[in-house]
Amino acid sequence: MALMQIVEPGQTQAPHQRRIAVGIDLGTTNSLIAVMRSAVVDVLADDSGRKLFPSVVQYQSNNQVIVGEAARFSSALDPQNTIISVKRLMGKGFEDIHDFQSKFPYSFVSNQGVPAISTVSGDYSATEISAQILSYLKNIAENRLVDKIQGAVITVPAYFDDAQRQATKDAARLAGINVLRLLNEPTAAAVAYGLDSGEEGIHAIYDFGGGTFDISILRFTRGVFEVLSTGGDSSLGGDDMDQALSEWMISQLSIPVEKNPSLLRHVLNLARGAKESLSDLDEVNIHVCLQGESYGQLHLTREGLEQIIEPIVSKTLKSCKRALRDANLQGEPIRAIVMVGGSTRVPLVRQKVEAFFGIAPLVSIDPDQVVAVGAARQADLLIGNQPNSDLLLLDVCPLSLGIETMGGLVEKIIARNTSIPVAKAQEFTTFKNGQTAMLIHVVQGERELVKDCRSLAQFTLRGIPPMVAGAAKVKVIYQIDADGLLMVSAQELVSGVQAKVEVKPSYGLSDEQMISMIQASFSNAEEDLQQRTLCEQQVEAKRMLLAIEVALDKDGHLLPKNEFESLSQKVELLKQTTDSDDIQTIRKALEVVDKASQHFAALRMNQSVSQALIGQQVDRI
Amino acid sequence: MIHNYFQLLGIKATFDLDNDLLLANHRKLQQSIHPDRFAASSHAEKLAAVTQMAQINEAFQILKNPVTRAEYLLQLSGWDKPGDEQTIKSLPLLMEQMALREELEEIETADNSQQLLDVFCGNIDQMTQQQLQQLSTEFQQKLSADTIYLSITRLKFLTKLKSEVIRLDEKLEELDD
Repeated sequence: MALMQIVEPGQTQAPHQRRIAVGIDLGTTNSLIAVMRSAVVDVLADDSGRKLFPSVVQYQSNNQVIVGEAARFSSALDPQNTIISVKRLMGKGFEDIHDFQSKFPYSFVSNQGVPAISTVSGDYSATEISAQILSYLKNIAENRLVDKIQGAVITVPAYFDDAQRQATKDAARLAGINVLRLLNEPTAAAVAYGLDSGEEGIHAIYDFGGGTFDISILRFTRGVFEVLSTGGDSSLGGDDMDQALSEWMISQLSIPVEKNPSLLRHVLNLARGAKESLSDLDEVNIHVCLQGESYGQLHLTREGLEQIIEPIVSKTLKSCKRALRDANLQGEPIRAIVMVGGSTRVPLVRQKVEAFFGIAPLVSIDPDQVVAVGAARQADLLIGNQPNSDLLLLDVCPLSLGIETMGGLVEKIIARNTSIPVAKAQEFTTFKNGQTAMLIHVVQGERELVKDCRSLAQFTLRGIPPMVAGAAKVKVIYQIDADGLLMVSAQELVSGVQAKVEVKPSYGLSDEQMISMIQASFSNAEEDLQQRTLCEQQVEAKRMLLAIEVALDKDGHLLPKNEFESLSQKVELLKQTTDSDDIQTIRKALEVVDKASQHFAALRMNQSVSQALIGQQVDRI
Repeated sequence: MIHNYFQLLGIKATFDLDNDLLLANHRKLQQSIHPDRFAASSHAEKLAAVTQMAQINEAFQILKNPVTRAEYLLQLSGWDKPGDEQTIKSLPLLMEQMALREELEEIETADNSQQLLDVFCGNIDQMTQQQLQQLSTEFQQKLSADTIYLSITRLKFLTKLKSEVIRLDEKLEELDD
């Protein structure tokens, strides 16, 4: 298999001492940031002691951007410019958002198929809005921590597809955050509990947040988490309970919410408040009153609320059933159920989950914080602060990836629940005599027809030499990296002509777009972009030098003498350029060493493969 | 460089493989090769790790599943997989497929769909088990690749039918609510 570039790996870490890496739970309703210090995870608070920051961004006419609690306060007064639940828009195309459009009072514009929200200070995409939230979190952390943040693990719902993951990574880059790894939220929750309790066996992670529901079945054995199956609904959450309750309130009191977005938002806020209170109280009184005008009062009992939200809770159990079936446990018992997300505070949810699985769910870690706690642990591990840890997270690709074939059918290339990273190649051929081009259409989903699956990307492979039908051999390669991001390439084999195309997900940002966005939305950032890039390159060069010197010292004998010397020379050259203040010089030297060391790295990896299986009987092989 | 998937995962190249060993070896390899182990290493090392891990995961995926494992074994013996355009040559197999499909369609419109489907599903599972057993015997007796491929084809069909059964099962459940 050819060596292939897998998206862009995380960049810089200084190669010495203790490094600071944070875990970020970028939620639909709230976001958190946490860090591990002296073996304990701290969920970081702002100056007022708040740890749960509403994922709300308000754009003001004076170009000011307000994020968090302050923005949430204005949501009732300035709904059109105050963006909530932006996570639901991540990675979505303009045609995917009808549902969102009917539920929220924003005006959307299409920017080359990518939806953007029109505000008083301009149009913003979901990626840009999320970047504001991430940047806000980063500031809070940097105010709390003395050191600079060198990397972050950001969590995403297990159900996020490729475009949604890419959009999340893009948002982090916009906010100047180096992403070590995207981590599935349920996996993060398991990390938080798994390390604390050390309990081996099958875990079910029931994650019912503000806007998404995820169920994951994981197996934990001797330091390894393995995702057996995932399921859920990316548009089902506590928001839907609020929505259902507010609809009930509106019909009970005949509240005139049409053409009055402020009032609608106010009723939604009241509904959420009532739902939260009913987790502890048996009954509440709701008084609908906005700007001095009263719309009436309601009395609601917990049973009353439960009747309204029961269909939503039942929907989650259906996904649980499917995930259990997919996990194919064959009688293996479920050892623990981890509850994640604010909606699991609702007593009905806990009751129903307990009744369904037959065991009491775990609730000892705050369900709002558990994901951030796990992410912080994983970030600390990945940045290299725990060299002796055996913990390794093994993820799977949650949905099958396929390609469109004749007749609108899907040929699956990577089956769902395949361990990632993975690369798979499949050969296709031409259909007509003299055909010189082939459309490669990448789809995601379990169904057999293209129209029932989600289209991720398409591109055309051109320059196939004219041949009779069936003679050309087009090799299509799908590869998924450890973050679950997909790259697809295609090449024609028979002629030896190298025609190769790489696709990025449809809604990913190009480097140029990224730079212009950073300049546009963060122009008043104190750091000059150039300066930032130079620093990153210098750190990267030093890190690379350290890593390669250690490797050469240990495994230099794997290389033939002349290759060893040539590589050493190039390393020496890189050493001389690390303190240069010219970005291009460093970048070039880095590229040279990188290229020269690829063969060495592959040899080392082969050695690791052999060593991992050493001690086995030769006759078994 | 190791090219054979069985060698890569350190197991003997047979159809009746040691499943526990396959799992254990895959686990060991993941422990030492997974890219997360190289998050702080050079770019070249990350690339080598992700490439190697991707190949190991693909090998594991192929070997874990009896159908793909059987096909892979045939390929190792120099047999060429027929293209999709090649139709099934066995008439009895074709007849059986049509009959089973018809039966499934009738179940969908029947009054007691769920009951019938449960029975049908049990039958498919049993046929699958028997076919797997037969495939194993065929490999042991070193029968011709064409014979073995016929068994594989039937297994593939049964697997596909099973996924249709599951889909119908879900559909019936939704109608139930």
